[in-house]
Amino acid sequence: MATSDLELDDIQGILLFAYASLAHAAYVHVTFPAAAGTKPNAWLGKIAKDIAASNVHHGKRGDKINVAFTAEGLARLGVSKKEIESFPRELQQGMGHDLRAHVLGDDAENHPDTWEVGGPKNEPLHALLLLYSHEPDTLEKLREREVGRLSDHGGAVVHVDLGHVRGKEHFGFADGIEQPHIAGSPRRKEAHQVEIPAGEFILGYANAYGEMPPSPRGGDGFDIGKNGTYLVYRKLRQHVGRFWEAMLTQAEHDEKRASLYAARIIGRWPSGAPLVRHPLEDVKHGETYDPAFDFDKLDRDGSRCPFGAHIRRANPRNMLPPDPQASMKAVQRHRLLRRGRPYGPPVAAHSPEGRAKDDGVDRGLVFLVLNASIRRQFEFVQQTWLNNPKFAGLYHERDPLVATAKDDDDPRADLTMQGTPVRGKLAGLPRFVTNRGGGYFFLPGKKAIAWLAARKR
Amino acid sequence: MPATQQHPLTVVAPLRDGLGPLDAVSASMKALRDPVIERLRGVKTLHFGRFVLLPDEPGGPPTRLAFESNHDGERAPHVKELAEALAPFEDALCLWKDYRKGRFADFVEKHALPAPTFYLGHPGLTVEQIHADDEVRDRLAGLLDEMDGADRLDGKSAYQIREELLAKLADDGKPRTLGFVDRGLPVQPFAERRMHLVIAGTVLAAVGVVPVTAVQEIFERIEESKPGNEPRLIGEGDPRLDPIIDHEDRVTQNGLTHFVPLRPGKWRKATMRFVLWFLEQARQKIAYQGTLGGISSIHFARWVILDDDRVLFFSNYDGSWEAYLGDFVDKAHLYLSAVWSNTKWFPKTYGLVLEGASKESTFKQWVRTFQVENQIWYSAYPKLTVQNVLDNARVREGAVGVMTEDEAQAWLRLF
Repeated sequence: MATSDLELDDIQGILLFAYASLAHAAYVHVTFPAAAGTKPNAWLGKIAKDIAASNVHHGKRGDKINVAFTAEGLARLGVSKKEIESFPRELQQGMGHDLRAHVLGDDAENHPDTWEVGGPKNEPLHALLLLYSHEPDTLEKLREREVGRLSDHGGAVVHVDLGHVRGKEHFGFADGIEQPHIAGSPRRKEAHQVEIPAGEFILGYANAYGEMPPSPRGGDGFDIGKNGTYLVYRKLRQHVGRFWEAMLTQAEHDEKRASLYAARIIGRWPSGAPLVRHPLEDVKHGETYDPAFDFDKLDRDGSRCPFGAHIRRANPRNMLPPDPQASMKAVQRHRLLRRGRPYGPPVAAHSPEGRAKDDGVDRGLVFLVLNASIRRQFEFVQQTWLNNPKFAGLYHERDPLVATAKDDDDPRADLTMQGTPVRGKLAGLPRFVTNRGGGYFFLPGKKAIAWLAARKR
Repeated sequence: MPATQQHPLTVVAPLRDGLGPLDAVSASMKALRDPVIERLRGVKTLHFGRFVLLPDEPGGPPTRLAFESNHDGERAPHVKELAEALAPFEDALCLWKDYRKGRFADFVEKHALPAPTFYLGHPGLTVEQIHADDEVRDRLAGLLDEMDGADRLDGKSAYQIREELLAKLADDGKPRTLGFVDRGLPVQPFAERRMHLVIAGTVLAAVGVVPVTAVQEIFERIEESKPGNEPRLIGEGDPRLDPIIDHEDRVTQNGLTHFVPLRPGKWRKATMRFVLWFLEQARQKIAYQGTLGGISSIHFARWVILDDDRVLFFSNYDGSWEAYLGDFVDKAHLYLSAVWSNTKWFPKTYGLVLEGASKESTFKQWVRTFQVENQIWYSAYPKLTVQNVLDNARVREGAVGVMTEDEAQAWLRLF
């Protein structure tokens, strides 16, 4: 795709921009009780003009609002049963459904029954309001205004998370480094970024198979999906103290070794420097690193970056069989657009010993992903790469950083660190992340928002 | 010891009359799942097996019951083992119209079908060998962990570590067969024959099969564009898929059963037979080590053509349905299109191989439309991927004799 034929004025802004300059975000989860007098359509009609599209310069200081709906939310807006059946199965079932929980490995303490939001024991989740602002107090004002408009129409808030861009996530590592570049996007493409067909992230455009996948349709023939996408929301609580305590235990309290183990679990150093290029220590403070790297050329045996490390699993690049070219091609069909932000106050300490103290504070990552196919993108990465104990020819190892699933008859959680003459192993690692809830949402284009607002119930 | 080959057994026969709708029959079979699997564990020659009720129309009432197995060695001893194992279930086997109690072997003889294409992911390894290799690898990995935990790996070379591991293994006092086991594989690739085969196939295809198929395709597309003839592929949320999807991805492996009529006409049947023959030749002469177009996650797979021009596909594979089909689309779509474009409602294909299975979402919808639920599916090693099986074999092969430092390092990389 040479020049952009993306309809930027119809696509919600969060798809093309992460709003990094608006460091403060509020994720407002909304329900419209079934009682008479609730007017979700009128509410949507009222806020429609304020919903940010992608044709506005992303650097502006002005607040941004975007909105998304669960399948139940679409039903509340008057979308018929038949029309909802034209949406993908994953959206219809919702992330809290048994089958989705099974696919995602959300069991035990991650099970939907334990969730704070979006689970079967929580209040019905209908919509997600994404609010972005430059300062905490301006965000607060924005939130007050929106919650006011919401309750004017009978809506209620069931849950709020506050996200804050800070450069590093809570374990202490730079995050969100490798983002795909959407073909036709007005944003500047970095040299090392891979360009992905727009249809992988935005409905209504050709995807990585050169196909226009089926789009949800209204009974009147309206293309509901066009310029929209699917949003995955997961509130991932991070157990920072437990993580660094485990690293220090594995390293017998040698802090340098503990940092190395942490880097091997992730695949990068805190600066973001990839292990593949810097296998033994991080770059010096202030130094830059080359963001491009090649698993096949630089680390075929995994002795620099373990096969089971997080970034290998989240994006295997050219390491999959049968050959590097086929791998790159296949992997490009499972890319995710990440828009999440950390929530909760950062840990004050910087050293491993300091960070190993658990202060009991709730902090983590609001994990937010946009993709045109939940099943082939988000769920695939989660099931076939992150949570798969057989990834990369391994026998029984899941992602040491984020995997939630366990086998009852074999709950080992190890990371094999390939090396010469023999491998090392971090054995018996605890789980460092807990899923506290979330959902699968449909993020409509602006025309679709108008269509939804106009539905009669 | 001479190599033992693996073979497919496919038995398809009509159900007896008056059985009622699919749900009831399926439920009664599924109720037997656990006891049948328990009994099948005793069949030493059985790698994977299944019982599947086959409908004539997708979602329709079942008309046939199929049994598939992938087994070691000759058919007769395997069938004898099966007969013994399935003895408690003779009543259920009478679902087959022609079945007579106590006559399992005769029944198989009468109704067994040849498989023109049989794909193996780890040929030459028996069930017993696969289990034995897994035990050896697991024990060695455990010993390595022990040495690691006791800091007995520091400062040693790979050569020394291996020596020590093998000594500890011997200390177990357990009789184990280690080292090379003949798998009956060709010693070196038939490079010349491969070239001839590829050339012959391509020429035949170019000159004969492809253009005629292309013309046939045009006629078929005209037919399909007439109202009432369009392909009716199953929708996203169709509840018919629920029992299938519910059972998928519960363990490391899955079994896919796919049942679709051929497109009408003698040409299509002939093309199908030709393509299956060609793939089988290619498989035997080139891909004997087991990578079907680069997909290394299939344990066993086969296509079978039934008398009434229907095509049955059985596959036993690792990973999720989504990953498996995705692999097919990414890596093997040409082969799949060549085979399946001869069947009903397959996504538009041009010249037998182009487009077709490369259209990801349509292809997956088509597979789902004709996918059939397995009432009973058995694996002799449900926790092992193809990669695990082959790596285990390499561990066992390297567990004897002397190695150089480099060889020892390569061997230790298997842990």
